[in-house]
Amino acid sequence: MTQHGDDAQLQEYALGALGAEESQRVLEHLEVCAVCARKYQGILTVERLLRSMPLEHADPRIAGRVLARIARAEHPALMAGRVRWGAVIGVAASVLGVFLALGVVGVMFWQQPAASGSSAYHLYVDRWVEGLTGFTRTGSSILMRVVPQIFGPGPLPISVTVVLLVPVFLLADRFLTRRRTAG
Amino acid sequence: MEPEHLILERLRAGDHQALAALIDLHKDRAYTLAFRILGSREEAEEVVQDGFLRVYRHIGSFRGDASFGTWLYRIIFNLSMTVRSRRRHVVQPVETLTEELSENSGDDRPLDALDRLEQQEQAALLGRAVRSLPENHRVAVDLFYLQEQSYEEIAAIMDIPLGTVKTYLFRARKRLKVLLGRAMDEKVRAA
Repeated sequence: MTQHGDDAQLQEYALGALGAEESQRVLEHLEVCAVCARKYQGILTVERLLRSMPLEHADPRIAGRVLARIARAEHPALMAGRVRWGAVIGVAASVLGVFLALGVVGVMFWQQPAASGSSAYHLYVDRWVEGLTGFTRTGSSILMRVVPQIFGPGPLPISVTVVLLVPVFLLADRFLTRRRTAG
Repeated sequence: MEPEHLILERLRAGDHQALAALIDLHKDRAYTLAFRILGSREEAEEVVQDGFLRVYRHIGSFRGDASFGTWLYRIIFNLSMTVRSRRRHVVQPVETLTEELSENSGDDRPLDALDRLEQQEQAALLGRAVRSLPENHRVAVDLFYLQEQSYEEIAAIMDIPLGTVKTYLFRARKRLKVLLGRAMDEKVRAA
């Protein structure tokens, strides 16, 4: 009488992975052994179910998305025009912030001292509020006072100062563009 | 349909439409593998996109020793495992078999009743059982039955010995038989 096969052997038999001689021995045993035959049927059922497992379906737009990412990476110049507005707004906000800070500094150094009797806390708050509301005026006044002292009087020094700010704009634009197209 | 080796030649030449053709051929299998590992559709799609981007960038290094599918699924597998390892919260399987199964378990409940179920119900039972497998077993099952990879290809993808692949699949089939048998018992009792 043929011997009972172990589970591994029955699985291999179900997959057709046994040699001819071994397969024949298993087949002969299954014909006479109800226990192993039932076990084998269970293995076949599982195998059938596994082979009928459905695939998940990817988004059909996935190819377009991949190609778009490649295009962005390979042609950043095409994307630069799209991000330039963002860079301009970002730089403008930065410059505005610089003037805000200058305004506060200007308030602290150029404003008249508050009336005597005010607490240091109120002095600070008053100056801060004045700085916030008058930052443009104060910032401009700093520009009008400092630049001529360095470069001399006249409109030329002011113009030079504005021109010197151009590299700041360019660096900020480059930084923001690089951040947008990274990855 | 154009043979895959010609599509790959066009891709090596920088033809983007060749990449689109490859994506259409393999996206479902790649997505299924990523989704089975990650359990999240959004993350699976990100991984698949990243995987095909890597294929595009490194197609020159694909020598053709293995099939393109094997190479792709290895990329997807590695990317999925990287994403998974970065998670703080690990998605737990629905249920697990806590007891160890011996090589010749006496649990041989017949599964004849499964054949009497609707196909959709069978698929649902099987899906639940597969999701409850240990991760390595589940991935090996998916690679064998869904991505149709051989034992050797699975070993290359998962970077494990061939014997380990056979062990994973053997134990997975055994556990599934037990789980399905128990699921059918519960259905009979509930009926």
